[in-house]
Amino acid sequence: MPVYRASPERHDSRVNLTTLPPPAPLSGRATRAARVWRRLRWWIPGAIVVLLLGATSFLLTLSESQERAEAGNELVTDTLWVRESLKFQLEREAEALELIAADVAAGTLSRATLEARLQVFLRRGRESLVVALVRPGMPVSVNVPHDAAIGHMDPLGAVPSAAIEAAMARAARSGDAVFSAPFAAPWGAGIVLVAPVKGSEPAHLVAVYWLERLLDEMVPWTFAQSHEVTISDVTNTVHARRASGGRGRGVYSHQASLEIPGTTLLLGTNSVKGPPDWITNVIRGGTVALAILLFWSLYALWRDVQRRVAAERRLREEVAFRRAMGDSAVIGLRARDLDGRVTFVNPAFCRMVGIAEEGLVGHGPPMPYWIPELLNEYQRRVDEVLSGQASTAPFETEFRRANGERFPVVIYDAPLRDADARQTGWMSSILDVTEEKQAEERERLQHERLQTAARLSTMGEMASSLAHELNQPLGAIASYLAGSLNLIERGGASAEELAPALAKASQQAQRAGQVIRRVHEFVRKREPQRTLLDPAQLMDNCRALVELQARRTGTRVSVEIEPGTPAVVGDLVMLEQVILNLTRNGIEAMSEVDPGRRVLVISAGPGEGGGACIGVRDHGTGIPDEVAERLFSPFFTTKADGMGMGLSICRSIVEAHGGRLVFERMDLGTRFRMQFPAP
Amino acid sequence: MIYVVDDEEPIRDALAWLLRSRDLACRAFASGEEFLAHLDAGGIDPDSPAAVLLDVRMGGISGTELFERLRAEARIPAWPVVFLTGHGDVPMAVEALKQGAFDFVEKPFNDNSLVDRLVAALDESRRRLEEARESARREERLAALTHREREVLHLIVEGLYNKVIADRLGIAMRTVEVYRARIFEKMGVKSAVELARLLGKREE
Repeated sequence: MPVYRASPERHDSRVNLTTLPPPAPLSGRATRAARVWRRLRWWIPGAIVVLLLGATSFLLTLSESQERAEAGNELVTDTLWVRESLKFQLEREAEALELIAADVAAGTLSRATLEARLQVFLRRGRESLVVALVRPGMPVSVNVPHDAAIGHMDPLGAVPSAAIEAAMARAARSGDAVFSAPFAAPWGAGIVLVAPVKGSEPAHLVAVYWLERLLDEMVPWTFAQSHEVTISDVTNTVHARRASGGRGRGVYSHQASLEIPGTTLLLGTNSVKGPPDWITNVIRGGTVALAILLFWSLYALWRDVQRRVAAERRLREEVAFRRAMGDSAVIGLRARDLDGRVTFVNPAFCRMVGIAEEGLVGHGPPMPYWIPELLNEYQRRVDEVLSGQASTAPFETEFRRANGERFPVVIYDAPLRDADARQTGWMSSILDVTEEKQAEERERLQHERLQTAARLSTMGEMASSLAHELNQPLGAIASYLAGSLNLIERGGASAEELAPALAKASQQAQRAGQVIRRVHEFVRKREPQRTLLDPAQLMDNCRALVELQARRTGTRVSVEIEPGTPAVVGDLVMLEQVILNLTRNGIEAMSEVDPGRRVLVISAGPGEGGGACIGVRDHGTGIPDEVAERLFSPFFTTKADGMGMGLSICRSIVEAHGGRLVFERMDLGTRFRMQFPAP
Repeated sequence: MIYVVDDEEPIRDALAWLLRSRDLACRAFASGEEFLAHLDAGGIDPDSPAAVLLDVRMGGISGTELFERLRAEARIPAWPVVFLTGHGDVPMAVEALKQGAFDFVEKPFNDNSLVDRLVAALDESRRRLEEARESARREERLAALTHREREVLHLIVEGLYNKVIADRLGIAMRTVEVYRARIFEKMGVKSAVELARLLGKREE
């Protein structure tokens, strides 16, 4: 038997057919490079993110410092502007007071005029608290009622005299109006303007300024809102402060020296604005958040890829596992799609039918391994399976190998489903049951031989012992009689001489008679056990045995029981034997005819006289005339190994049941008919 | 004398009756063991002419077994054995014939033909006994020859002339003639031909 062997290359190519790439057969170096690359692959995006973060931070820092510089420049400009306006104001004060002092020195002013002029001088600005003409001995002063808060005080009186005197001394020296250094008074910080009155007697015009109010008056509101403005002396002691917009942050600050006649003050500005943090923070935070998000998504991607790789490996292993399972199975496996087209076969199936995989996959019905006579049966099964009506029960049939050899198979079908549980086809396991069938056949043959042997040996033994039993008395009788005859022939034999021998011969004759009687009794004990038998029951009992007989020659057995068949009174075992004998004869009669014609029909129906009629019909060669005449005679047989007792005994048994056994010649074959009496 | 060995009493009795009706002496045994015991006890003279009728199928040792034993021990070489066989024992009986049984008779037997066969067996027995006696006599006479006489005898039987014999043995022809005469006398023969026949029988 040519055994088809699947080549391993073919299997590999089939692996490639799946969506999976084949396991990469890499050299050592390539493997190492691939491993390094695999590791690096995940670090490169990380490095890019870090670089991006660094660049963003750098740009932010750069823009922040630029912004800082711009804000600083603006502050300096504003500060200088404030200083200039302060300086201009204070210098104008000094000039105005000098004019009055010159008028006083000229002596053209009356006291009232002087006072009026001083009033006018005071009223020009709210920062000047008091102005007075100081002469040694009699001070004249004009108190200004500007400010209610210090109205009851004498601002001049609260000014430290050291400050005034130092200023007077400097004024006297320069001859121009000078300012004193700042000082602290109970009402606040102030400075004094001293204008010398040139004349014979030393006199001075003294004006007291309140520095806080100076700032209030002179610094623009908008600027003050965003800056803390301070006036300090050269020792950096702060004397006045305007911080209507809050304290300065010390981020943007500037100090400019305010040089006025007689003294130098320091004008300090300090922006309440902090550094431009929040934008930076937002951008930086956003960048970091984005980076984290990027990292996280990278990690998620990595994890997902890892899972996918693991899943792929598992899938590959699973596929390899399934393939190994399919390849190693001794059971043939075959998958078909819903059109009945073969989509998969395993090597065992290829070996079984002797056709290469290429010759099977993609092939639709009719299959190359089908047997032409059974096409209808296959097609019916295919239709049943594909329409989903087929049960999961195994299906027994025959297939044909490529060399034409037929072999029996058992097929189990199971639906094949895809991932969505939708049916895509059918998976079948095909079992080559040749050996089982052969074993079954062998067993059946052996069983049959054993039975025959047992039957023959029983009959032979019985016949042999019967012969022996009868031989003894018959031999003895013959000897006695022959001896007696010898004596008589020789003459002179007296009756007395002969009598004992004849008596003994008679005894032996009686003994032979007893043997015969025993046999008769033995046979009588086997008389039928009569019971009421249902013909259907009788058929059922026989059926398995008949099918066993029929299987060897591939004969089909059909059992037909007409409704209303009467019961039979008889011995179940004996009638079974009759039926089996007739079926065996029928099957043997068909052993020579075309296999398609081998149909044995066992029928039961109502017969003549209200009794049952059981028929066994073959489609064999029929009974020749010369055989028909002697068919029921004992010891008549047409079989090489037959005893010639079968039909004779059958007829005896049927007749013992009060029935008749007859046969009819049909167009094809013979029909034996058992007619039983009504029960 | 006919020895019947059969385990069936009626058969034994009937056969005895039959044989007696033909003037044949008969002795019956119920089993092979009984027969052997009798033989051992010396109740039977093996040198008188007799035949044995053996039933093949018997209780105890069977007919064929008994036959094998007798043949192996050469207890009764002069007695032919006739088997009585039942239906189906024929192959066994044929085998026994090959082993040297005289005959077999199938049951049920034709009685007088059975007796005829037994008579033939008795004749055979007598012939065997006669032969045995003759052979014994011959051996006796041969034993009486001297060594030299025996040498001469062999040459005579070969058919050589006295002169040739004398040359072969390196003796005088006259001496050969003396030996020849003495040998003829001792062997009880009158001619060389007779002597050759006697010795020829021995060799058979």
